[in-house]
Amino acid sequence: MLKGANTGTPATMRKASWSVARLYRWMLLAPALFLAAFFVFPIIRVVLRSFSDPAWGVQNYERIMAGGPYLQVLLATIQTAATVTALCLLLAYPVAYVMSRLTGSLLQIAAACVIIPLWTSAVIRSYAWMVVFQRKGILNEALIGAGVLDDAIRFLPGSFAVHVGMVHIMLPFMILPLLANMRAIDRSLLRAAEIMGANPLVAFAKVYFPLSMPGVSAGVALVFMMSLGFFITPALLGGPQHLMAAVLIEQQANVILDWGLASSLATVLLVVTGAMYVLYMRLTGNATGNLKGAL
Amino acid sequence: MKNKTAGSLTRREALAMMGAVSLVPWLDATPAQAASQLVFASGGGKLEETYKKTVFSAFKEKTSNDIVTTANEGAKLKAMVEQGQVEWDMMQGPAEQLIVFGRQGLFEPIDYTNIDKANLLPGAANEFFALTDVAAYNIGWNTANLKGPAPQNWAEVWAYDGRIGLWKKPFQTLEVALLADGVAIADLYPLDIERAFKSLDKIKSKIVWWERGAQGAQVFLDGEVDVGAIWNGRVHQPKLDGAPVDFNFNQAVFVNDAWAVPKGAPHKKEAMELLALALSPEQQAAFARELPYGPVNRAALALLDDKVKATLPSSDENYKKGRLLDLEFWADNSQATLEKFNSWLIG
Repeated sequence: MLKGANTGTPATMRKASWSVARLYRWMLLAPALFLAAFFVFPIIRVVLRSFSDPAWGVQNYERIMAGGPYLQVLLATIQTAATVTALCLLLAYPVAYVMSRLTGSLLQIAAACVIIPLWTSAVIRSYAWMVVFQRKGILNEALIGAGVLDDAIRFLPGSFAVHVGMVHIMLPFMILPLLANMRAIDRSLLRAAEIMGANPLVAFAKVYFPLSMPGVSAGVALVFMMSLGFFITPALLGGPQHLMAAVLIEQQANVILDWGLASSLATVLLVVTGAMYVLYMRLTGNATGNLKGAL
Repeated sequence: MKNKTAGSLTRREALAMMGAVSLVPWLDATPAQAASQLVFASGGGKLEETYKKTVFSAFKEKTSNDIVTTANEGAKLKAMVEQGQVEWDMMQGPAEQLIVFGRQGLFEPIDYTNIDKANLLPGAANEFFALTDVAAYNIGWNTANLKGPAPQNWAEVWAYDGRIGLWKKPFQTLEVALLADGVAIADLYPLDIERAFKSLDKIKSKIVWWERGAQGAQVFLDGEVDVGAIWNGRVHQPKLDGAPVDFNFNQAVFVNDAWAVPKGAPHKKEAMELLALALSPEQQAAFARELPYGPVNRAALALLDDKVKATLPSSDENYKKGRLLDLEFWADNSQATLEKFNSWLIG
């Protein structure tokens, strides 16, 4: 039967198999090879090393589990990344919404405001926040000058400073996917909802917000993953409780040169990230499916 | 031949010229091979600038060898040695790190035949690395913030009612924690780690941790902290420039930069020559005049005037006030102690 179906295939279908879409797939070959050589292969080596350095076995993982700072730091890392992601989403959503309604030069100015901070490195921006938050910094001086405070508040090092610094750096990565998504939302659907009796709030909650979910998914995934690997900002602005996994990995990789332990810490972080992403996709109703619909 | 215009060539002439051209790179290569280019991995900053200004330019004059610099990442060193593709000829780094790398077999043994070992500080000449300068992790304070007299020892720093700046690493910081707790400087090693953490517990809410040297200097200059520990080289120049910062060498922990030759370095012989030059009294003195990191070669002190010597941790006067970091202790204990320190930080 299968054979019959094959021989029965009209010539047009064979032609269709050489369509532009098929050609695009071949064009993916070069980037795929590049990724395989410079991304997948090194990661596989890192994972292998976590089981083989200094000897074959799971001794590096036993060390992580045996106590010490490792599990606690991994947990703190995930916690910090999650808080930063939530704050970014709260701040970015209204900004992206307003930007999606702008046109012409106003849109260009707004986009420039979002993108220009990306031109400055995270290190310099973290130092800049130190200037703002320090004891005799702009913020404390202003609050004392205005009579709000009698004595300087100790912002540094601390949770508040870390979160402000990280959110500032990550915000564009949340706004841009949201904006791309929101500009593609068909606003006549909102009008349709209102015609059918929904007030603006209900129209937003039942129509607009679900349609913006692909943007939310993309932004949340991007910001969360990038925040997990944060290094310099928590180190400069954060207190001891903001010891991030990246700092521990760097210590092992660069100072102690225990690459077995460094690799296993990196592998755990990789697995946690992957697992959380899969979980997240399940919970948000298959983000890629929605994304396809939006495109 | 006589009607040949200028610029036109016969076939034979052209061939001869092509042959000559092909010789040019070879002719050029002969002198270039005598002068090689060494790769020096350093921590950058003021230290690297000073190396360039002093010992590197002297090396160029003496041997006509150029030196280029690169970042001294330990991970890169390990990767290069593991893969047998070593690009560096010399690595500079904190001695407590280089001793760990040396034990992992990443360095060539140092050739001391051209180095006057007798004049070096005890402990400076090691199998796989040599100490090149002496810095201090010492008591510092912001003169504008300071209430009362300046702290004269670590116990007074600990007792200060205010913010205390410390380096967020166990190395050096645990030493001063023990000194603050009343351990005699002669009995410091082996460090009583548990006691050091108990000492840090007492001031936990007062500590402002600094992570990097530049940041450390900044927290003192801006008055983010009142008192604390800082490397002398980071606050020396600001103090001279009138910043509200001061320091002393009482109970200082002396720490060192060290140089080592990576295993399989392409210009091993030249690198050993460079090290010998860097440890010579003249170069040690020239370096100390630029940066207040003292010489490890005692003969260099004779070349320096009293004003410079007063700023140097390894001058006779200052050196007896403190104690050299015990490298062997840290080489044995850095992994386990770092683990405990990180646990203590987040605990």
